[in-house]
Amino acid sequence: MDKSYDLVIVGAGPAGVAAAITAARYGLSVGLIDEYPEPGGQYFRPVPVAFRQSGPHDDDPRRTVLEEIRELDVDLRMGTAAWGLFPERRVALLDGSFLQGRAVLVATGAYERSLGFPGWTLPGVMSAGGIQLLVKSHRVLPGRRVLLSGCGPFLLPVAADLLTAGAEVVAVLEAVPWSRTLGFGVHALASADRRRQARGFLATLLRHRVPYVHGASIVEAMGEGGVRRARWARLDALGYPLPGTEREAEVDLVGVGFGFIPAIELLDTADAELVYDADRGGWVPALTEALETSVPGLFAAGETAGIGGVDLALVEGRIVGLEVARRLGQSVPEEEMAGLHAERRRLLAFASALNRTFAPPPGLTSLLREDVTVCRCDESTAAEVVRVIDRGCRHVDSLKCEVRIGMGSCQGRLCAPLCADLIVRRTGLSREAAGRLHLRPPVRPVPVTTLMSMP
Amino acid sequence: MPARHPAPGPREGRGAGGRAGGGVPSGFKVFLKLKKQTAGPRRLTDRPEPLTFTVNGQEVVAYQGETVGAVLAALGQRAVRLSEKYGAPRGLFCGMGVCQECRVTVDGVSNVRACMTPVSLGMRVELPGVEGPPHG
Amino acid sequence: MTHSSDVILLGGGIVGAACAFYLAREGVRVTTLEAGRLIAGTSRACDGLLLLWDKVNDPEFELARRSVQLWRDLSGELGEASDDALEFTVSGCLALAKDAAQREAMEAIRAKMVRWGIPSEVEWLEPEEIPRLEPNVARDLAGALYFPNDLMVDARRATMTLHRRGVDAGARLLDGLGDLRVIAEGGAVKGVAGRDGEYRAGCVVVAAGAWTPLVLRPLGIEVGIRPRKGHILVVEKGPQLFRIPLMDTGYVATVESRAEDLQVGLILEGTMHGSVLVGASREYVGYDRSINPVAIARLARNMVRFLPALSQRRIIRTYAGLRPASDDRRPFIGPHGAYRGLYVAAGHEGAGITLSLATGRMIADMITGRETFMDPTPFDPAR
Repeated sequence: MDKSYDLVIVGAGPAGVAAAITAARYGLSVGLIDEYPEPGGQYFRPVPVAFRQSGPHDDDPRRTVLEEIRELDVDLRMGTAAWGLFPERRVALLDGSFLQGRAVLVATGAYERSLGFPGWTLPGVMSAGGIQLLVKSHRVLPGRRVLLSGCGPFLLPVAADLLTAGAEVVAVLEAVPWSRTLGFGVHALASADRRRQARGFLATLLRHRVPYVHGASIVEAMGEGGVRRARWARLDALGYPLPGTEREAEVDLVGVGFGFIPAIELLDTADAELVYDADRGGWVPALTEALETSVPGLFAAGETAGIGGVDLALVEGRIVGLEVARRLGQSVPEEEMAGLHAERRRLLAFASALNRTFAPPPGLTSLLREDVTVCRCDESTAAEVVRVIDRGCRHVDSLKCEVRIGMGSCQGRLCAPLCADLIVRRTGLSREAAGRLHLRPPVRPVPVTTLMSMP
Repeated sequence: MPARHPAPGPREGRGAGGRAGGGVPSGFKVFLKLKKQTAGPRRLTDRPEPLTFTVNGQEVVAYQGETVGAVLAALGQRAVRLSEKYGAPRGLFCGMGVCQECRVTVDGVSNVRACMTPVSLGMRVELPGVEGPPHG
Repeated sequence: MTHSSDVILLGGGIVGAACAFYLAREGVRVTTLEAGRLIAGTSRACDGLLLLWDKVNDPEFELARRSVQLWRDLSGELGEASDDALEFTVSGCLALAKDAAQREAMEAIRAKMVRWGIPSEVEWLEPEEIPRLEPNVARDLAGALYFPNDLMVDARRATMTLHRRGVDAGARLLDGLGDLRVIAEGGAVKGVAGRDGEYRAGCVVVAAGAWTPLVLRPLGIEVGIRPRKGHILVVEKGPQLFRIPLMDTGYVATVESRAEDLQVGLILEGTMHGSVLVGASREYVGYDRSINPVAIARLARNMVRFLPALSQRRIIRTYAGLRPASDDRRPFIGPHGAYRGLYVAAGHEGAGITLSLATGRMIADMITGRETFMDPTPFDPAR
């Protein structure tokens, strides 16, 4: 038996929570789904309740939304996840139930883009976000001597969190050149809040004497049973490692973070139109001003709609909440909506500029040498994938017909971007033309017992 | 019958939290919290509710609210499984339930994500083919 | 832009690929045209068992017998490359009977195999004999039939291998062409038109699977093919639960059934990579390929009925495909009298992978003017 709501929201991160609060304040019935035990998403990931302590970022003023939501009549469906979105806006949950909404908002956030390089599958090589989660939320150090490598300012708070927790950070490697960061910094630091943050992070790095190296990247992780050494090199203007610039260090932990990829899988299964926007993280839903997808009644907000950060997510969540309230007959003040849209445009411009500045340089794909694993689930190598591309296969979704990629437990989330990179490299096609996987439900592994319990 | 090993982390028998020792000046306590976590060498804070469960038959002390993945990280157990085709060691990667790399066996059920699974009293975690966890 | 060849294959699924493969090796200039992006249609969504016992009429069986031999030949020809190119194995097949009705079906299948002259290809098992072959199968069954020599391939790999080998032999292969239209003038086919140009040939083979009626209708031809949707579930890799592909003896009834509503039979195939493919559902819902939660629920319950330990696992993917179901359960293979040079090779329902090679061989024989390996009358497209 389906449970019905005015608005079903998948994902209780900033966008989902903001939408839930807004809609609930207008008297709409709201069901909010998240796999974690409490709302917050990745950005607000709280310390587990049973620890009975606050976390290191709990002074962030945005966190008030987490209290607000508890005061409202929102049905919190925590600890379960949506695995499918079926016609007439029915959301299928892992616990076997279905929620149906007059409107559905998919605010499932994003996941980190990795870099494929020799040794990237070794234990101890993690996504930068995964490391931050362990340190910030689980309050545990996954390693003592860390190399961070990636693109974008997200590396800085991760480094700072590690240093504060007592780890040694050997270096922070930023793949784009100094000139880009400086140029962007001038633009970005127009905001007092960002100035404060940047000062804080850079001061922490300075205090611990951590090199913040630009135009550099990890090129190999080495070790038996787990990473023990890491090698990095400087990059040329296109991102190719420069021979002769390699350095090595002993590490027991490597964090990689080369941007974020919107988690659009649920939207894809509902056949929402997706477009390629390099400035928003790649494949994103085509959205109206009201943040509605091409499927009537299906909305997207936050990182799912395009990489843009927490403030944009909060604004977009509110926009969707208001929009749905308006459609269901509530009277919504025009000025409030107009104000949110103006704010959204401003934040979008910033986000696009940031993503453009810190786009991973194309030469990094050269690290996907022959024997490097491309598909972690089925262990296909770059050589195997390239052989199929060279035979004439030019689309990610077609690669699966001739080589094992995108068919394992992660459903292609890790390998599809790498395969697209390889297609671009070998054929000269654009990333958009190289395509993506087209997903069907389940968008995450679903227990057989869940399927058995469905009518 | 697996041999009993001394559990890494807090000294057993000291009760919840297991403080580093009595009579320590309060200024030092803050320092100790950061540097010499009594809840375990890699844990950054104490936490209140200990419980025991097993990893590869070895008894391990953990705390209510922790995930299997976080506990393994705290133990320094980086490899959690072997890849099916080449038998290569794999560990936590994304930490948020997406990459499916951290699959372990819990209470006889295979392919359970360590990073998303809260520990519970008496839980049996197995890392097939992987040695560990390290002692002490 | 105009291209020309001797023969055009309209459709890039396994049947089209097989036709092109055999034709090219005869030295015929072949162009295969695919509307979508390879592999676009049903060949992308199949399991890979190559069976004899589930065939529903004599002509289909004859075609299957020849085809299975051709698969063996192809695997032999590929040698070591066969693993990568086809994932070919002699897997055998174990058909389980869960109740009295399915046990009766065991009788019917065995009788059929005797009539077809292949009694040695089937072994009758009483319930207590099943665990020695497959210990994890449910213990409350009514019996089983074991087919030791049944074969298995990976359908997608096999399709692409046929395409690539065809290209090696001189065939041209083009995909992403958008909707394709047969060009006919004065009672003869002249070629095929796509979005970006025309492809001229004196001979067109329509191998468009479930979409064949849509291609033939503008020519004024009706052919008895309807899309019959099936789902496959993929079970995540884990501890191996069975070795031999498992089906149920009720499977044949689902194939033969004329019912419009959802029919579910059992197919459980372990792949070379440790995952398990689960089938098989059948329903008539037009050209809709979306995932039907009712079908996957029934597939899940059915598979656990036969292999209870599967209840502990996770499903990581599902897909759906459209079988080209023929009204009289015989495919359409051969020249169509309405137009000179027009051939049809379609309508194999759920046996397309199995029957593809013999279909290709037959089409190649017909086009090159040779006598083919069996009387093709039962497959006449104009019947």
